[in-house]
This record gives sequence, structure tokens and C-alpha cells, in this order.
Amino acid sequence: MKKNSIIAALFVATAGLLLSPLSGANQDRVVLQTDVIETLLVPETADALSWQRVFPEQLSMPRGAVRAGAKGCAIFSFNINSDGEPTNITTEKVVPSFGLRRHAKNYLESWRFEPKSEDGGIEESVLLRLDFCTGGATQEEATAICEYQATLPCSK
Amino acid sequence: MDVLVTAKLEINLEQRTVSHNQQVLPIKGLTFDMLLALVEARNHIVSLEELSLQVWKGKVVSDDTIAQRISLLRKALPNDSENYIESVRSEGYRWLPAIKKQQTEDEPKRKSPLTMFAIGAMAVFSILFMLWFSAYKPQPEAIPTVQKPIEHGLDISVYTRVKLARAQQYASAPTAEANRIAIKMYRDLYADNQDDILVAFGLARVLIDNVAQFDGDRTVLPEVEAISRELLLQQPTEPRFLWLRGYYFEVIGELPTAIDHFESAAQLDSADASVSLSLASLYVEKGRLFDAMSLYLRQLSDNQRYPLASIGYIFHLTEQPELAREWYAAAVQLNPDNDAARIRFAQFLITQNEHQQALDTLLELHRLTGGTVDSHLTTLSAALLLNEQSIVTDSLQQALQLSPNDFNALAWRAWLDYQAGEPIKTALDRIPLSEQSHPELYVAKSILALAHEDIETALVMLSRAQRLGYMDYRYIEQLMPFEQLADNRLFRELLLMMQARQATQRERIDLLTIPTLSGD
Repeated sequence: MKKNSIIAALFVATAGLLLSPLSGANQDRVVLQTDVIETLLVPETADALSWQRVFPEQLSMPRGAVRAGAKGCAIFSFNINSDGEPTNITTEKVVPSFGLRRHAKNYLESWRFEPKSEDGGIEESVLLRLDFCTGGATQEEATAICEYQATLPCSK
Repeated sequence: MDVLVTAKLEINLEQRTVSHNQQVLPIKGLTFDMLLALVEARNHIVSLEELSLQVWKGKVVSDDTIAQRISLLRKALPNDSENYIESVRSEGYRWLPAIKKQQTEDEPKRKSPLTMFAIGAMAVFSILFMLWFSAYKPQPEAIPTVQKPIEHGLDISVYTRVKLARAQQYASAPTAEANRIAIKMYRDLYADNQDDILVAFGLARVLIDNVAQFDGDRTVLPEVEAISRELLLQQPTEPRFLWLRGYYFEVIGELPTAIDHFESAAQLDSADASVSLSLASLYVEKGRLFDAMSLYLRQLSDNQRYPLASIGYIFHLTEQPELAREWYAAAVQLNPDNDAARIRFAQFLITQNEHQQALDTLLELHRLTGGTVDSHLTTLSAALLLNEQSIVTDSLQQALQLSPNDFNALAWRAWLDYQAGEPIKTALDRIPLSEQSHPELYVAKSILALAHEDIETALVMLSRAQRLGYMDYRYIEQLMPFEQLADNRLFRELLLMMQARQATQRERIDLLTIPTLSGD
């Protein structure tokens, strides 16, 4: 009986020792980290555009894409029309070829631009790459992963 | 060196040139290959397969493409040679004249049986190829070009497509800044895609726009000349290329040649707005107001902006001031920074003795855009009438700053110097004019002659302007330099001739149905 209690005490102590490093993690919840990165391909820099984006100010994963668990990259060509709206959106590349396309396109359709100068913007074509990423323990990690992804070819 | 001689044509195989009476004919590229294929067949029929194999190196082309190339070749040959190429229905084509071979060196390079054997082998191969191709690919229109993917996993052609679209968009925007950016974009594209005709066409167009609309550097004109000539050589019946060539001739001041090109383009594609507008504006300069009006009326529905002022100008020239005012006002209201519309409107106001209003509308333009040489010189004329000396001096300076060698500006400077008793810096023969030149330049030369106190030359120049189509006699009457001629009998006669010309055009225009503006 006494022997048993000693063993039990030892077991609890060992278990406590083993578990102690994880005791902090028990308070965290599983959070899905996401990030979206845009890479302008044509023109090469946003300076060359006669427009600036006013919506959204910061890119973020569209809700639909989060729910669908969609991630990957997409390259679109589109026109910014005289009202500052993206039109004629053409999917040049999307990986994976299922799931992401619709969410990415809807997201792009919601963007709005305003002319940089008072004289108004010039209707212009743009080639743009978007990377949709999930994963990473922290936001910094998610961004780092996404930045890396954005340097890879957007192809299978 | 091998030379084939047939029907007075000398075909140099090494230099790939064709000459006739020592003159090199414009037969190059595919057209040259076509001629060679026909001539090398030694008066035998060359089938369409053989032609596509030899001329297009096996690429599958339609019968129409071949027929078109044959037609180009026929056009490029001397006038008396239309019967040299026989079309053999559903078989091919045959070169009829006898063929001789000349060699300037004695080593025989090609043997005719060998050539025939090669053609035969190629024909067999081509038929096999066609069979294979039609068996495996139901639509053999184009052979996909293999291009290396570049970073981001995109084909380079996607980049080129978007860049070209951007260049076209900037080229169509009506500002000097957009034009400057478009030139840079096209230059970059041209560096990598010299053979892309859309790129070459676009580059030539923005360069010439820069000269014509934004008083740009004229040193690019030889480049435009080369590109536009080459494009037209490749596709002599492409309306856009005819238009581009005409536009070039317009800018270098060879109006009849420009009109010829525009007219050919309009015949091939009567719906092309830029062709119609270019042609109409030259008709106006040459005094063919009725022809111009007919073209403008066709354009009204789809292109509201530009023709408004031009139609106003035709009313102005045919002495219908109420209508002119209405159309001009609409043009300026719709497009306040269009300098051409403002300048014409101001000239009209000057003819109506509303000098202050003329000056005001131009000053407003200059607040909006900074102005062009012509707008500053029209300002100068209005300011002279109002005796606004500081505006006169300032306008001249601005005009000369924009374009130091502009003939109009030099003429006005000479006249102002003459008025001030200063030495005249511009000689009378400074710019040689020809029958092809813009009629308005003769008016400028007349002003220059008056500065040199050479009334006789001034009148001769004015009469040339009249003969070449100039007819705004009311404006001439108002211009300060011509005041001293008011009692000159010849001068009055010239004005009457302009007036008569207006009346003739007016009679014909009255037959047209012109929509009213007030309706909308």
C-alpha cells in the first residue's frame, strides 16, 4: 500500500515534469493564420499606374476562400475602367485549378481604384498575381510563408 | 553570283533583289520568295501546296493568303507585266515569260534538275505532312509557337499582350503626358518584337501623334517613314497602314499624297473613324467642304467629340454664323481642352468682330492645357486687334518656345519686328513651299513677305493659298498684317474668289440633311 502510494507520487511528479513545458500551450486555441500578397507583373510597379487602390486598403483572405480552405496563386489580367472598377478580368493562371478561381476572381471584382491625378485616370490594363496563403503558427510566419510562395512559379 | 533574268526583270538570288531597267523594285520577303518559287519552276505550274511549302516554309496557309500574296506580287511588278503570272484554276500559278540564268562567276551553283528534284521531294513531303496533319489535327489553322515560360510560370506572350494593351490605351488618351508614356512603352515593346506589325504600327502612330498633336520633335519622322513604308509593303491593302502612311505625308506637308492614301483606306474600310476624320480634315484644308461634310455626318453617331468643331468650321466657312457658333459652343463645352476646337472657335469669333471673346476663349484653353503653337499664334492675332501688346509679345514667345522653327511663328515674329522697326531675322525663302503644302502655310508666307515689304510676293502667296483651297477670306480681312492691302484691287479680287468658292460649296452642302444640335 505504501509502496503503491510512492509509485503513484513518483508517477504524478514525472507526469508533471513531462507536461510542464506544454502547460502554457494548453491555453492557446487553434487559429488559422492567413495572408494575401499581391505582385504586380505589368506594369512592374504601382507608380506606373494612373490609379491607386482605395478598396480594400489592406489585402486579406476573402471569407469564402477561408471557408473553402482555398489557397494557392492566381494571375489575372484586367482593365481598370474609367470608373476605377476592374473589368474584363481574365484568369491567366490559377493553381490549384479548382476551388480558388471563383473566390479569387470575386475578390478582385470587389476592388476599387481612384485616379491619382485630378484629370482622371487612363483606362489601363494590368497583369497581377495574387497569392492566397494559410498556415504558420503566427501572423509573421504566415506572411513569411506567403512571401516565399509569391516567388515561386504559379504553375503545377 | 546567280542572277535569273526573265522579261526584263533581273532577280538577284544572293542579294534577294529584283530590278527592272536598273531600278530595284519593292519586292522583298514573302513576295520575293513567291516570285522565286514561280520563276524557278521554269514555266511549270506551281501548286498551292508547293507555294505554301516554299514561301511559307511549310506553315499551313489558306488559299486566300496565297492569292493575296500573288496580287501583291503582281502590283509590285512593272506596269506592263500584269500577264506574267497565270492563275490556273484549282491547280496553282504559272510564270509565263521565258527565263534565263546569268552567272557573274563561272562556278555553277545550282543545277536545275536538282532544284526540280528538291521541289518534287518537298511536294511529296508536303502532301504527306498535310495528310498527317489533317488526320491528327482537325483544325490546322495555326501552328502553336513554343515559347519558354518565364518567372511566375507565365508565357512571355501574356506579358507582351498586356503591355501592348497598355500602350494602346495610353496612345488613345488625349494628353501629351500619356503620349510620352505610350512612346516609351512602344519603344520597349519594339526592342523585343520588331516583327510584330501591331507594335510597329503603334510605335509609328504615337511618334507621329507626338509631332502632329503635341508639337514634338520632328527628328523621329524618318523612323516613322521607314516603319510606315515597310508595313504598307507587307500589307498594301490594310486600311490602317494606308492611313498611317497618309498621316505621315500629312505631317510632312504633302497633302495630295496624304489624301490619296486616306482615300484608298476609306475605300477599303469606309467604317474606320480615324480614316474618315483624317480624310475629312484634309478635304476642309483643300476647300472640299461638301466632301468633308458628307464624311463627318457619317461619323456623328459614333464619335460625338471631334466632328462637332469641324462641322462648326464648315458652317463658319460657308457663312452660316449662327450654326457655326452653335456647333463650336457644343464642341468646346463637351471637350474644353481640345485645342483644335478652341482655335477654330476663336478664329470664328475674330471674323465676327468679337475679338475680346476670341482672346478669352484662348486664354481659358491656356489655363487648362498650356496651349499649342497655333493656339498661341491665334491668341497673338486676337491680342493685336485689341492692342494688348504684352499678350502679343508673350504669345509669340510661348509659340517660339514650343517650336522654334515653326513657320507660322517665324512669319509673325518677322512681321512684329518689321512693325517695331527692327531687323528681320527670317529670309523670305526660308521654307520652300510646294503645291503639296498646307494652304495655310501660304498665308503665313504672305505675312512674311509683307514683313519684307514685298507686296507683290505677298499677293502671289495669297493667291496660291486660294488656289490650293484656302477660303477664310473674312479671317484674312481681319488679320492685322493684311490691313494695309485693304484697298489693293488684286487683294480684293482674291478675297472675292475665296468668297465665290465658299458659295459653290455652300450650294452643295445645302443639299445635305444636317441634324440639329438643339434637339438633345
